[in-house]
Amino acid sequence: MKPLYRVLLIIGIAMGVVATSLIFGVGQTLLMHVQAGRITDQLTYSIYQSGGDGWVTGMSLTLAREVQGWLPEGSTASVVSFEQHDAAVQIGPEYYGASVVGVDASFASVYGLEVLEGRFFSPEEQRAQRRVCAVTGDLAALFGWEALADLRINGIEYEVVGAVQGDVNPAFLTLGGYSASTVFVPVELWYEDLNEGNFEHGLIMQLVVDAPGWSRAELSGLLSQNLIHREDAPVLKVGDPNEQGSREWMETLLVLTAVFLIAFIVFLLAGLNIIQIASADVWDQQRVFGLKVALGALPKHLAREIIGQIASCALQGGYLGVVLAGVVNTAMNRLVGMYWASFNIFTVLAGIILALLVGWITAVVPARQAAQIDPVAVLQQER
Amino acid sequence: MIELVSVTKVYGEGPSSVRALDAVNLKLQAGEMTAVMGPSGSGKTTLLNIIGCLDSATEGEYYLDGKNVAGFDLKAKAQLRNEAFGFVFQSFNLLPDKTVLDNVMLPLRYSRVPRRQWKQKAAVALEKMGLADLAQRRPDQLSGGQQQRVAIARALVNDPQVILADEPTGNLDSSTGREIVEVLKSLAEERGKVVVVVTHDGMVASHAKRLLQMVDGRIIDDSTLDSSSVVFSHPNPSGVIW
Repeated sequence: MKPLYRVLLIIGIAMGVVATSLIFGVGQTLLMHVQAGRITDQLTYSIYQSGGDGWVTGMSLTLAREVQGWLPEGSTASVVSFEQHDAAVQIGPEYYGASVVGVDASFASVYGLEVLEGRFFSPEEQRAQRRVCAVTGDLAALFGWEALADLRINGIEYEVVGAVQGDVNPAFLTLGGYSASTVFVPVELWYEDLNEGNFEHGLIMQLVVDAPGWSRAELSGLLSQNLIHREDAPVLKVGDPNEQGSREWMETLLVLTAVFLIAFIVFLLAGLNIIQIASADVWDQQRVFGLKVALGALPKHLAREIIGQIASCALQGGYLGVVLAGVVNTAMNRLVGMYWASFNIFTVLAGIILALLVGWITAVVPARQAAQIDPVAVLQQER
Repeated sequence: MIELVSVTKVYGEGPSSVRALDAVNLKLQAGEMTAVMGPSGSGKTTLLNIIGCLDSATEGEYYLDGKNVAGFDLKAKAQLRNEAFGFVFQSFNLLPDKTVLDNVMLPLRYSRVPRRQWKQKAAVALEKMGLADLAQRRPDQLSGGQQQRVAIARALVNDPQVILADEPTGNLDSSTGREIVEVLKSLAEERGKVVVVVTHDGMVASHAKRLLQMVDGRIIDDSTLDSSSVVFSHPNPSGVIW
């Protein structure tokens, strides 16, 4: 095979692998979306303070409590502070990089978090300002309950009363989410032990509300009625996590569709490129194949040689493609909000196997062409 | 050893068809070098291709060692080409990106010879052609005569019974051509091969033991030559003067 054909073939196969990894990435994202959609079946609203232009500014705890007082009867709500990452969380003798979030006792039920062990702290404990907390399941699994009996935040001892589900898909939350390694403490103590105890500091990210029978518009109206008489009324907004997620998802879906289409076209072009180059190679080597037939080669011998050559290119193209796919998918993971593609040893193996498979399939056409070469005709062309 | 009985080859159909061979009858014996001469389009190469199982006859019978080759399938014919026949072409047909040794090994790749014997067999064939020192060179590093010797080594590597040469000296100067003809002659006389050489060159033909003269797909003359015979080249269609 000519060196130029070989290089083009390797590039073509690498393009095919990259395109396929993107197609798989889109598929994985869709699958994750469908699976994640099953987690949250409860409609919660998020009340947050808007700083304009889509920015979110923190509410003070005082304001959050005031807003909680306006909520309709039968509703449940919990404040959620910003995630504090710089707190010194000590479990036994070890420090661990867990974040600390201040919430109300109703947080787990409003958020729909599954309690994995023990319980979430109670309203009574919160009112009594007992230093109790709940951790995400990964911390419980990592350290074990015995070690968690000795948990300190900034040197202050907290009693761990339970572990809750950690992997909450951020796509369904209005503002942020908790993936893992989080300690939930009563919000007042969070202010006191970690933030100088000043409840006027705007550190509340959102107020999550479960208001059965209330629409988002009705809740917004309720907030407006209460804010209208205030001179320095903050801009409070009501977000519907599912609605918010849907909007973000629609935007992502557009990007994913574009990525899918481009990847699919690249995949087709790569496939055609491979077939064309391999066919061109057969055409260029007609006399060689004719000679081989004259010397006793059967179609299967020629097919084996062609497939071997293409497989060798496919292997190299596969390696190159896997590396490029790693770069492209990493960029996509960072740039496209909800795009999700895992990249591990299985992805690498799948990429190489795919390249070999594509190589093998696309070698069939040129192998057939080679098998149909008439040695008499091609060897007479020398005359 | 080889017997053609009323072999006809027609290309195409209907009024535009061409009768390349017309009821050719021929017997070829081991140890005999036969030259085939005739004007262009007389059917020489077609005859060679049919003998070498590169092409099939439209009609007639072809016996090789008493077996009717006409009934052989693709695989059996490929095996015959690989084991029973050695081909030598005008333009050598060596693979330019392979070494001399690899070129000579090529027929072995399609044979039943175990892979571990390939190198040794190819080296022996090259040794016999006096090319042992050039085994690792590429064809473009060789002279025309050396390239044709490599092609003959490749034809001999499977020790075939029949050597079929199509204008083997066509691309060589006269002295190199004479050397190649001597090699082919020795294959017939010393190693008992059937050697068939298609040529336009009277010098080549005059080394043959037997001369076939073809015109319009028919053998119009089949003569035995002696050492004093002189064969003149075409275009004299009546062929041969000696």
